[in-house]
Amino acid sequence: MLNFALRRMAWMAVMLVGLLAITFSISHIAPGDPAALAAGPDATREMVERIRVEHGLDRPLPVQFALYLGNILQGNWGQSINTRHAVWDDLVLFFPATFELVVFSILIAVSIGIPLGVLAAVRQNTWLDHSIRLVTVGGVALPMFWLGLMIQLALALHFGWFPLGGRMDMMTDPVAPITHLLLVDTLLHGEFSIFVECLHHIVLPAAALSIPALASIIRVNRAEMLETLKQDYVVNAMAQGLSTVRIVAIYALRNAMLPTMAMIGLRFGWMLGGTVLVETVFDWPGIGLYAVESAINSDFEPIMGSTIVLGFFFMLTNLFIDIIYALLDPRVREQI
Amino acid sequence: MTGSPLLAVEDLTVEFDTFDGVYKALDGVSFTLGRGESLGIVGETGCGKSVTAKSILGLVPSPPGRTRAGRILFDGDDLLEDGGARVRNIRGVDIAMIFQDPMTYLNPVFTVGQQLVDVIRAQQRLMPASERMSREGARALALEMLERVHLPNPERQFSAYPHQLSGGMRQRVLIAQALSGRPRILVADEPTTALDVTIQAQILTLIRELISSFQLSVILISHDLGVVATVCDRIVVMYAGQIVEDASVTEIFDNPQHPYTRGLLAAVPHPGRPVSSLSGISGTLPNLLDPPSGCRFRTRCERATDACGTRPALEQLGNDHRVACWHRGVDP
Repeated sequence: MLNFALRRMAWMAVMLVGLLAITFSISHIAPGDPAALAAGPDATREMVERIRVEHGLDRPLPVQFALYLGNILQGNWGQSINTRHAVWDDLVLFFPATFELVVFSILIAVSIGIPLGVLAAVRQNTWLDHSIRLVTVGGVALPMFWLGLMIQLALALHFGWFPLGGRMDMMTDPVAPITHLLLVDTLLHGEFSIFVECLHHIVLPAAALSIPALASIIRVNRAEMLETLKQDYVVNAMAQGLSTVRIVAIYALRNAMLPTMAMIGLRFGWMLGGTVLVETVFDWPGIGLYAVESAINSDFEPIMGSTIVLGFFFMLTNLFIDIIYALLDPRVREQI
Repeated sequence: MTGSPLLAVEDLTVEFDTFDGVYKALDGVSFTLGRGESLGIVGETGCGKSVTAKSILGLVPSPPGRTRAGRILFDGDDLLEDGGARVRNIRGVDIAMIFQDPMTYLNPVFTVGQQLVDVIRAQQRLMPASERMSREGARALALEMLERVHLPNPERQFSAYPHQLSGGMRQRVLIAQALSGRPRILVADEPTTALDVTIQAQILTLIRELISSFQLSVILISHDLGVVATVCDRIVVMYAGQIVEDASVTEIFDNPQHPYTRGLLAAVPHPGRPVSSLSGISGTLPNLLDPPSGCRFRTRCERATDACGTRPALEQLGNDHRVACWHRGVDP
């Protein structure tokens, strides 16, 4: 198992370089002159050219890419033209916000989605099953930003049950960062009132972000449970007198969890890349907003930095899912 | 065989709802199983053998399955009453079952030992808590059972996963599961069909050995008259969801009365005899969405006459021999 994890890590490094190569090429082929942008609208031709040479933008693309990779490995992730900060510092500031939101959302989606999927399968073709399915169709079909706006309008603006946006109140003194995840840091500092405040802030954006994932987890889990409950080993377990609860919750669910895990991993990856819509609606200072603003401004080092971080976590998720797969299924364990 | 039979199936009628209509899988099936008796149920695929077996343990999926009529009396109690509570209580405790394909009847993601211990603990669900086994006790019993079914290396196989075992070994594990609760009846649904011939013989020998050491009453379902003859005392022949003949093994082989039983016997190959001595039964099983009126075999029967348009009753001859045919015993 350890061997497998290490092998996969090595592959991840290769894939990351590949991902960077693609992003690098696209951002350099795309129209827009970063040197001119950096120099500003009033710059002369000479000034633009000087900046071009200073940043190595005049050299062939492969050379630029090699230089860039070297810098990354040395911890020099470049400078954002837009925020005027080092890209690394920006990422440390923005990525944990997104990570916290995404993890919180996937936890909601999994902890509600799997029981509902099982319930719908066990009560197949009853009104309960039909209503769960109806809601999931809506969850998959509705656009996330619209859902976010509606939730915000109703629960925050109209009823005032939740704050409109942000990670915490403007007036609250932030705790000293340890992990940069506010929910974790406040607990580590023992600041329970701030923890509750952060929890209060994360509920709405997490709800908006988790609903599509929740819906697809329910659908996959329901379908897989229906399939598993028809299997011969379930009939055998019934014949031997095992209780229905044990058969459903252990014998069948563990088998049904295999494809469901794949869906969870996929959804986690999509969430990482797709938070920008929710971040915009709820004013959540995450990496999605940062990356989009950088892309609009042709600010290419932050784009590359965000790509590395998001790509890395996407791949890490997949590795994690594969390991869970192997833990759940002895046949997979033997093959790795 | 004293007094009332251990198990009595009376007038069992089971139907399935399909898109094409109602599939009449069982139509008025009645038979009994005495204490210590081994009963074989034979017939071709689709005749209702497995549905009969599964009905006894309430394992027919519903929907689409539906028990339209009948009673299943175990020790005098009707298992079909109580909305299924009674049948759930006897599963694994009084009546246990083994199945056709050992490849798929064990859960692929748990070890043999985990599944066996789970079953043992489930079999003790009706006991007062103080009498139930601990996990260690269940583990010890599981290992003992694996030895009693002659699984080689029980300690090692205990922590093996089903896919690491051969078909014969898995069937032994399933038999160990079924018998660990010391049931009074074992229902075996084609237990050797999916196995190689040499393994079949081993499993049949094992089943015979366990019948005597566990004092089991057995219902053995098979399409193979040879398999049934090696294990059973009595044979029930089914055709298209009905029982056509019911007699002791010797009566069935020496004095078959129903044309279908004769056809089955003529289709059994014997080593050393030429293939030309075999004869099949022409035609196919009728469509049970719309079964023929009267005797269901008449569409394939050489001796069918107008009388066969009326359903023949299962008539009692001497010697505990029952047959449902208007032309029984008449030699062609």
